[in-house]
Amino acid sequence: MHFKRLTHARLLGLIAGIAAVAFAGCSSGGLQETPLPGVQSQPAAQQPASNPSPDQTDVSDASSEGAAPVSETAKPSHAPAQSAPKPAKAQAQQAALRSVCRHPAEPGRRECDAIVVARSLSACNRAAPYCASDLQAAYGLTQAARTNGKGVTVAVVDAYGYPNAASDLAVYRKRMGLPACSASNRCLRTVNQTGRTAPLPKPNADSNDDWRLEEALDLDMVSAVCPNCKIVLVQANSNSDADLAAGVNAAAALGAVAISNSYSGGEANATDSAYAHGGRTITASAGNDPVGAKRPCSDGGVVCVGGTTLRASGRGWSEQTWGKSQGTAIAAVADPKTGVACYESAGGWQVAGGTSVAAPIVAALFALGPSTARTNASAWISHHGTNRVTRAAAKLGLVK
Amino acid sequence: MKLHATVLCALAIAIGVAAAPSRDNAVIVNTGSTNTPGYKISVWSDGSASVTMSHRDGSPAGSPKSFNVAPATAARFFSDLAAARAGKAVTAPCMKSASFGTSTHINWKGWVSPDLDCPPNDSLGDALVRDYQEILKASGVGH
Repeated sequence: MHFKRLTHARLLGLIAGIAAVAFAGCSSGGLQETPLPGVQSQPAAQQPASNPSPDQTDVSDASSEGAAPVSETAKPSHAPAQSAPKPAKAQAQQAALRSVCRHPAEPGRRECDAIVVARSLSACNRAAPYCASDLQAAYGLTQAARTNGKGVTVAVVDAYGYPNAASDLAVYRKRMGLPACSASNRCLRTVNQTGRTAPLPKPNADSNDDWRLEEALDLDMVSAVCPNCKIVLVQANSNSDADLAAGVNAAAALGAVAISNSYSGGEANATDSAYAHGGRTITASAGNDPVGAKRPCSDGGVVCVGGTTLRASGRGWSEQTWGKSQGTAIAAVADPKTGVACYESAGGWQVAGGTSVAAPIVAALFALGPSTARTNASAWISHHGTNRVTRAAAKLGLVK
Repeated sequence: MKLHATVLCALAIAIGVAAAPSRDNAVIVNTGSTNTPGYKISVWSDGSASVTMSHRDGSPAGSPKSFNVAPATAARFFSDLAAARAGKAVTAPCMKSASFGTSTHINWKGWVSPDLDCPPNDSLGDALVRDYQEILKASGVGH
């Protein structure tokens, strides 16, 4: 056979050559791009329900009075902030955003809409992102927000440090036309989980778990609904169950009548007495995934706050359930497509959504109301059947 | 003749593949949150890597972007992965911001790490979190 006529050396050379070609082909092609089995077993995304239930629609007759004067250039609520020329400050804010979300998702997709967008804030005109005046108007609280809440303290409990909390809050409140709230006028206190003003924890080094925007959002939402309330920002050392529970205890010890917790998770079967302080309204975000309510929302006595889609409708407003409603006592605006404006210096003015928005709104609502309702807010809500802020506000006597 | 050539070719490919240096791969998956996109980072033991942003359902949101991890970091990462898997590294259950919190896991050879966005419970988890933070920084995501 012809094969037999090949010399040993030629045979080895042929093998080596074919091997070289085969290896080159493998290394430049398929192996590198072959999906690994492990990739398929990625953890389930916390996908919120994409379509709100058409049931449970409320319409309030509140007007949009009290809109704060604003001056900067406007952009549509969810448009990527990159088409029009911008002043240097806005460009700097946008650059900061890009560094957070380097590869934004496609326009029009929900999660893209929900990406926090650094933008200038122009008008508070009943369109998302909602300003303080929009939220007050939507929930019929414009008058109560002006007159109620003096001497009342609302606490927001979060994890890790946020050194710019006071200055960022000042920017938000000034823009929204709200009275100043700072340490110097004894309105804002920032404390650690033991209730002391020092030492405060540092921001989390894990860039995936940066709580500063959450803290900014909590402070802004309490300010929006209850501008006269004092605010305690409790910064727990970490996001562990124990540290956050200690923070709630500190908030109660400092006299907060309403304590907002925009977080969930932790030990699945644990309960904690920290979330059962009698005489105080303790709210917790239901979370944005479709599964059942997690802790601390599921803890007894906690007002579990779900989400809504909030839109201006004629002269009033309409709300529809957003995300899950099971296990929630009451709901407030949370849909990122109808998100709220908040300010955090790293990203500038941003649009945020999720039940992180709703929990501080409901805490501030009860701070505006009579103390009798706060003693057991969960039972009060159940008794009055008020699963919407507008209804609760009316029952609390806040709608004039 | 044809049969012999086929055998020869198969033998050559087998020799070639066996002679090729093996490249390990791991994938870091971040779920994203209501307000932020997720991402998937594929890391190879030679330091080459790519990152793809993802929607909330895990589907890609754009094209992969290549970047490089320092070879020493890549080597340490895979060594730490092996140790973490063997030692059953764990992280403590933790609370997440309802609207900004994410979960991050590493998929490696069928093993899925604990959630690296929760505090590690031991030195094995600690090492893994450090490695992943370094890789994340090199990717440009979140920084």
